[in-house]
Amino acid sequence: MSQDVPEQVRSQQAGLSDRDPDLLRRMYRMMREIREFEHTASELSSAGEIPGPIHLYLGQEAVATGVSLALGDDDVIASTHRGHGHVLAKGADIDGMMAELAGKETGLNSGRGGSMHMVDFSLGIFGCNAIVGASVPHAAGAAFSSKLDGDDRVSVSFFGDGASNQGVVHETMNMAAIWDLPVVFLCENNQYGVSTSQEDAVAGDRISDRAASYDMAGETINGQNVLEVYDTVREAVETTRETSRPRLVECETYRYEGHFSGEKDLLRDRPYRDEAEIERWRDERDPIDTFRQALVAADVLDEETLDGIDADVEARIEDAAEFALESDYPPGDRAPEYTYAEQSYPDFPAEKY
Amino acid sequence: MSDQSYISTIIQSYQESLADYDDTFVVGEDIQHALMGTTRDLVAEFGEERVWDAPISEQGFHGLAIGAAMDGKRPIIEYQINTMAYMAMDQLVNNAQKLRHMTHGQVSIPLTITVPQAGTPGGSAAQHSDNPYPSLLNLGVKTVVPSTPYDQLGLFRSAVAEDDPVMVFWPAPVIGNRSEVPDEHYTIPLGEADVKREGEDVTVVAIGEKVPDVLAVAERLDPEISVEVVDPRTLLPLDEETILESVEKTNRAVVVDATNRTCGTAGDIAARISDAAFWHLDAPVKRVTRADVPVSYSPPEEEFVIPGEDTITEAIRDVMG
Repeated sequence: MSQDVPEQVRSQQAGLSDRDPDLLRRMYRMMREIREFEHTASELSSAGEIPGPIHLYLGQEAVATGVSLALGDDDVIASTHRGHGHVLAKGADIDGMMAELAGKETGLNSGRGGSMHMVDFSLGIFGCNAIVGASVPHAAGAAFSSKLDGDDRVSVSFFGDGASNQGVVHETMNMAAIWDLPVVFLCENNQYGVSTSQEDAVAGDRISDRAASYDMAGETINGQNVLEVYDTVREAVETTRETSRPRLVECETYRYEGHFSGEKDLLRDRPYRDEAEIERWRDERDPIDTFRQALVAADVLDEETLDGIDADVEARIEDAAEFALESDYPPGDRAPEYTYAEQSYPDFPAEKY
Repeated sequence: MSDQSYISTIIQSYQESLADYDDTFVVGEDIQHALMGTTRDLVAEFGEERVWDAPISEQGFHGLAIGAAMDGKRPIIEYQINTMAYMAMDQLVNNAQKLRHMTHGQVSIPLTITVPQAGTPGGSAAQHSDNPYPSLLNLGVKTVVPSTPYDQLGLFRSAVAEDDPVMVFWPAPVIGNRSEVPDEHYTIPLGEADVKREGEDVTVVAIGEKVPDVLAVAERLDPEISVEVVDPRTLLPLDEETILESVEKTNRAVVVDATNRTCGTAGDIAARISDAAFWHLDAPVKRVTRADVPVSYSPPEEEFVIPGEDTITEAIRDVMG
């Protein structure tokens, strides 16, 4: 192997022996779907087809993919404001996701939630959440419900390095530990909470060290290596399923784009990270490129097959964008619907004038 | 009919809820030992799996209850003190209250939150003497404030059956009171006011802990002034119709509420009356509220801030001109 092959390719290649080729293919395709979805969402956003800000998941694809493939259909996830990847990987309808971003009636939430609130309870997707850390107790609540029911579902709570400093996250970890809740706390440390580096915001060397405070296992892994994420999370999930003890897994990852879609305009003349840093992550640790190189080098999938997957994914996402653009907006006077379970209360909705 | 204390109807409410709904559990701080007396005997009857003592983690256990509700449970949270809503505000209003709407009806959050020691327990000072409902009403949270044991039992049964979050405020000043309660099962739907006293000259809308004070004032003024006392019982949804009917009969209105004056509940109800019944009014609508200052510990200062019978009497006399 030549000297310029990044370490990450080498380590993934080494981990490919005896893997189920179908699983590897699904990993590649899922990561490509997320990336393509995000590129297209970004284009639609720039073109003014998406009403609000979006928080792109570009660069973090290995985490959602590895976690999702380690879960069963009945398992639950709760996600963050940067949740497209999690929701897509857990199996949500891609047309519905894209239409949701566009605020259309055909969207996952019928256009009500947008980028930061996509849900599909039938798939165990208990919601993205715009409030940093707020969905963490929801995942624990689902685990609590599992415990009461005596079933064997596991909940995965996605949160970021920023949320790791929220009180509610610590409160939830404590409750999960004292009550033996089957929840895996899945920290995506993408290095920045908006514009603040985790180095300036997180005390201690590693977020996973905090697990010790709550008497649970904790570890930090390379979140750019989909195999490592999959292996670690699968073991964590199965152990949690058996023992009903919570765990913390920290994935080191990186977001290529800004915190949200409008950031470039806001911070154009005062960037909080330099381009060289972004390029270094892209060149050496991109989760998709390195995985692809490893697959080819290990003779698992050839370039032609991978190109075929790429083309297929591009067409699929293009269809989703078309579906979103062609779908109708809901009528504005639908706004009061589903505010309450019963809409027949006196004086509801209160008039504007 | 039996003469029942307010707190005994609370205990009965919890027992009924746990017995009637398999998916119900109660979570809160210090409830297994029934610190406030409200959850007495629940653990013995229903076990610790239905009655959870939470750590001091208000945001955390609110969020956990919401997650369980998303998964089909029907949780009840009990506060120990009125201002805990502030600790949990994000989970209450950004999550519990908004999730049905944000998800286009994909999920129900049938969460009941009870607030023993609502209002002014007396000598509790500023951080333990609030009625947090105006801010919650502003954000659309269903709210009931029962002023009698009869109302408490009937409203609780409805609140816990709701598929939305409902806050149940039990005002500390009335929690020792007693009233006749039917032995047979009954419910009071949310959104139905009660005319607590009929009268001809002026309508006084009184909320929660102020209802007994207003009734006492009305007795004292009778027959000089005939006071009709309307207790909304539910603040959201609000029974505007019953209030307006009363005002159209008496042509005068006073609204009495023990929350702050600015952006308070009384201001909102007064505005509704002025808007909808202006041509029936013989005098401007008056509000009797707390002063816009924190509640002091010292008894004379506390008395100064909280509206008492003298202030209520003064307001009634003022609208009578």
